Amino acid sequence: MKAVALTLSLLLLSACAAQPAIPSHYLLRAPATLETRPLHFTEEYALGNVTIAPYLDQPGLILETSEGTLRAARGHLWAEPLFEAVPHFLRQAISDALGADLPPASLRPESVQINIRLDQMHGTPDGQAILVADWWLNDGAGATNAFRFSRVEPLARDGYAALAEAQAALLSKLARQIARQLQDANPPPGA
Amino acid sequence: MTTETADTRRGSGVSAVWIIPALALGLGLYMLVHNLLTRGPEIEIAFSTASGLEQGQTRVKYRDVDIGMVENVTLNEGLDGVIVTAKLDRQAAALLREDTLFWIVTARVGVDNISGLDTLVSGAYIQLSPGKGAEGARSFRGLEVPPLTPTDADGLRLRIVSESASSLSTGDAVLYNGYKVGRIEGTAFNPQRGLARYDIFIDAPYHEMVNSAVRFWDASGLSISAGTEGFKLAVGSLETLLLGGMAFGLPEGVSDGDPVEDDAEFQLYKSYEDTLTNPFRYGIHYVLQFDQSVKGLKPGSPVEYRGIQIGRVERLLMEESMPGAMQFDNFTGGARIPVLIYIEPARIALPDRAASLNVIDDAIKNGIENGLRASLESGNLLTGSKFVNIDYFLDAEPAAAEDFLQYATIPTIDTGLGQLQQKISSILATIEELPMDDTIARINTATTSLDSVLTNVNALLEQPNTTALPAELEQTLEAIRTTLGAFAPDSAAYRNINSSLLKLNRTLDNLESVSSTLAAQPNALLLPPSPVPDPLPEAKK
Repeated sequence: MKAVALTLSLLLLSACAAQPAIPSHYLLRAPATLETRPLHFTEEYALGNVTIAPYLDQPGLILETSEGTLRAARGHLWAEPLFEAVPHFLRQAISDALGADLPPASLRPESVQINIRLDQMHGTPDGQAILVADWWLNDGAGATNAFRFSRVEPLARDGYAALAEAQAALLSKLARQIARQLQDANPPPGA
Repeated sequence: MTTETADTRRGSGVSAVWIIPALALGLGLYMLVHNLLTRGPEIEIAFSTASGLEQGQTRVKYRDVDIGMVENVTLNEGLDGVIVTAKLDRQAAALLREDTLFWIVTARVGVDNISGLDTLVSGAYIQLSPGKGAEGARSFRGLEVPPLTPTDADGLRLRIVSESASSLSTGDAVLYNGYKVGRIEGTAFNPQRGLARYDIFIDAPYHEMVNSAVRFWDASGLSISAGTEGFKLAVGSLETLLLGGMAFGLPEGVSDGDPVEDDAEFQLYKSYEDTLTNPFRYGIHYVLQFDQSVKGLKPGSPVEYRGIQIGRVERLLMEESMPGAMQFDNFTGGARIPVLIYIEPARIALPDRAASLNVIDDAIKNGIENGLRASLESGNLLTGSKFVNIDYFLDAEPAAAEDFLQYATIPTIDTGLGQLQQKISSILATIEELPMDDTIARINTATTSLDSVLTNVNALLEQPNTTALPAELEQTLEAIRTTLGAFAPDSAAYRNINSSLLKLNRTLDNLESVSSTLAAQPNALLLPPSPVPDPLPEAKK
């Protein structure tokens, strides 16, 4: 009887002895220059609501396997929730592309708002990252212009770090397209 | 010397010199017999004048074939006309009947036609129209104008009588459904009966549509009538619009009658609507004597039995009752007003025959014993028109059928309108009895109290404490605004809450992972599963 109890105790202790896997965290940030300067918000536009598809609202990076299923990685996580990181990333990237700081809508409620919805953002089985997003302008009376962005970006190398970089690159392209559309619609003086 | 002896012999036979006389005699006999055998009849025709007739020149024609020649024209014995003697062909003898017609054909220009233009060149002639009567007539009276219908034409001759004058005249069309099927051949006025008579002829085969149930009406010109359905414009045909005419047909809801013979008599109605109003042939008169006002009751007003029209009001018998009408009656408070009504049995599905009159009369007389009464009802409150209603009133006082002049009477009862008037009078009396003065006084008192209350409310609103309320309310709202401002997106409280929510969100994510692991492997707490490695994203090769 004592031998049995001793064996069970050893088994339980052996479970505690397993080394836990340490997940990797990836920070989603637009490339920023090292400078200190005052922000000059543009008067025409402001970043409104940025929403993401519900399947993206989880910490793990999403990868579509060859079987056609989506797997959220347990060991490779975003450093912060995407519903926080994506708006911040896009506002920064659009500001860089515009050459002017894009304020949040809470600071410029009277400006035309840029609303964005990410529909897909994950890795594909063929070694690429995909980003599908809709965005539209709202002048307070309703949506005026709406656009769709759908691009893929090949991974530079194997691994989740490359997937995170490819997704960041896609978000940057989205930001540049938004900025280009805004500039075409409202060209700067002298252009 | 020779002596010559005459050889005398007695000749045998007839001398040849007689041949010529014999031939002349035979030829004369032949001509006599031939003349006797081929000679046609000689007739006399009386005319008012001999206009256009010449002896030995004017011909007698039938169907444009010469059948004779006028041989003599003389004045008659009275010197008021002429006698034309004409000799006809033998074959024309069969055409000479007692109703055979003769008339002089000359050029005529009428309202509706022009005829006989060919006689301007050929000269007048006498036209024959054979009849259907007995043969052998040799003396005739000629017509002054051509007959509208040949005597031997197939069809039906009818007499139409009318009590009122109309614009119909000889030659006018007779229509059936707007189609000309006959004509008016003659008109006359009978002063004894006071009736205008129209002789009409219906051409075959349309005469088969005439039966005892059809009605004839004046379709001359156009008819405009106004009613509850608006204005109605009725036009028979262009011919009747310009020249006048008569139409016939079966009234709606009336079935075919019996076949009719020549010379049958029909009544002429004023219009088609008139035939609908009075579509039945048989009816019976009754008199109703009312104790109440008959204002609104007019000739033609309906007489109904439980909503079904069974007749109409003919008229008020004022002339017949005037001698006693204005005398005061101690029992009824005044003389009753006699109203003549006309009830038609066919309106209640009885046959339109004389026998039905007895049926309806018996039913009414028996009904009177069981409470059948006539009453005046209001047909239209707006116009005030009235009608007669006949119905059973089981609580009516007993009454018997009486006679008024030559008419039977139906007892009357004051109901409906009279009772309504009584109710209205009762309501007005009740309103009069209302204590209006007390009510108005109470209303005045209540108004005074309301004024006092409003004064107190004004005083309350003017107090300093009450006026300070809006300022305090504004301060409260400002405090709420300040409190909520502490939770603005850029406030420290908002950031703290947001941070806490992020941590809570992450914790919930972990818990979800744990719960899904336990759901897949309940012993995972004791025996943790070996971690499944994440699939590796592979770059394109």
